[in-house]
Amino acid sequence: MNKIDDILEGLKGQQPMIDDPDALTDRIMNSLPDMKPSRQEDEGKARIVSWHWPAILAAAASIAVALMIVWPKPEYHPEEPDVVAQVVHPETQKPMDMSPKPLDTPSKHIERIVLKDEKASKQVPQPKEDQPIVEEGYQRAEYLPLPESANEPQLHYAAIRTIEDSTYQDPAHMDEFIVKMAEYNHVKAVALDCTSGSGDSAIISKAYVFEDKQGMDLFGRLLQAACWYDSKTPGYLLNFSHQQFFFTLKDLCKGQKYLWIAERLVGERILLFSSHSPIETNVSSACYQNYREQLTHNISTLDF
Amino acid sequence: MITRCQQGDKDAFRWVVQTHQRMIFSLALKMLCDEEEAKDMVQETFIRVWQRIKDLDQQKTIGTWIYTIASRLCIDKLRRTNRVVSMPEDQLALRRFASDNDSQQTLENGQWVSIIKTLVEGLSDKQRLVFTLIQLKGLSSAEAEQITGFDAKQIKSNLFVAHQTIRKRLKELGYE
Repeated sequence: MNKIDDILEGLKGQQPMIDDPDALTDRIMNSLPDMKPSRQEDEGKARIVSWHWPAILAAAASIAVALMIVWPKPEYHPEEPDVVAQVVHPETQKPMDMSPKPLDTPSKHIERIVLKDEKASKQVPQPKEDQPIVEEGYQRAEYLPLPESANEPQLHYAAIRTIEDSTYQDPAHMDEFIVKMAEYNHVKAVALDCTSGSGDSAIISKAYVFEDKQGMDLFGRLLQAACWYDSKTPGYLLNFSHQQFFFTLKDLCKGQKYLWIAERLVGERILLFSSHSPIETNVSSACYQNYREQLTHNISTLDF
Repeated sequence: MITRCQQGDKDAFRWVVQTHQRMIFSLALKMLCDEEEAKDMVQETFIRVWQRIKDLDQQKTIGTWIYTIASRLCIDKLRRTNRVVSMPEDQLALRRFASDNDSQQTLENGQWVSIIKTLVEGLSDKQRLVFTLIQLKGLSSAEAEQITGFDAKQIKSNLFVAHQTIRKRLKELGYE
């Protein structure tokens, strides 16, 4: 069957099998949510709502008009002076909170920028500490208490800028994929200590030992996962051969760097090493090498 | 049976699932090239079917309708996930299949994945869907039109390009 037509024809009559169809059926049935109303019902509800809205708006408008008519108007006191003094306390400046907000989603970054009107602050003469500023106004004479919000930096709505970064590809997805693969194949993760003597606990390193079986095709799957990332991703370095897979990425948003190494070992096994750490830290490769040595020379003593 | 499903009868819906899950799994496996993802896709498809079964026009075939939902979910998934890359081991699976003269040989799911990976590398999502529906699943062009929402011309052109690409690739691999 070396002819292309024969191959395509041979595939036509075949159907993949579900290994346990009843289990899949049960899984589907157990995950069924409540039934949604049909579109006709939705449209019916929408019509009712659309009929109600004008009535609600009309009622609200009539209440507002009635309140304006009934509300007592402020009385005029001719005996009180029109021109009076208003005391304003000097505005105290509090340090602004410039700490970044936690990210909602991996691909959504909210950058909070506090705008400060420096020119305005320069033009206002600095008051003496014990002498209040007196300025003329047209209101009744009284010491006006400062509203609480006066101590807060005045934020214009435009100061909060939302940046949607649809191109962001979270390197942590690669780790999630590896964890999923390991769980599926019942492979335990072994935590390795890869600190370079400084005791930096921010370095997270794990090793997995998979069976090198063709059906699993770990190298192929890792390569597929790596190919999902754009090659312009910071720190992107992908190198692979039949024997080894090497992949690095950097996440400049979270300040993390990621490294994955997979290597075919004797005994039909694949050692997969994954590490992520703050970008500025040095990750020692000794831990990986030591573990690899142990695995190669003393395979029976390791727990995996 | 559909009327019972529309009334919220889960036993009736179980029958629908049992009847159609294999064909959806087959489509999903060929599209996604991953057995676990294919099962997830079958589950997601039937959840959508359950949620929207009240809208199903009983004049239409439920099979085609389920295929439509599954196809759209597969295309969405492909857009979000990895490109297909075949490995030398995948090409080996195709070689084994091609060298076996037994036309009744049964492929395991792993072999399916390897063969599909080798064949569809370089195809666009649409070409892959049309090729899978017509060439691998044996549906007619009219059924493919209903499922994909493409017109006859689009079906024809996507299938043609898919065939050309696959033939070129297989020739490079030494097939005639």
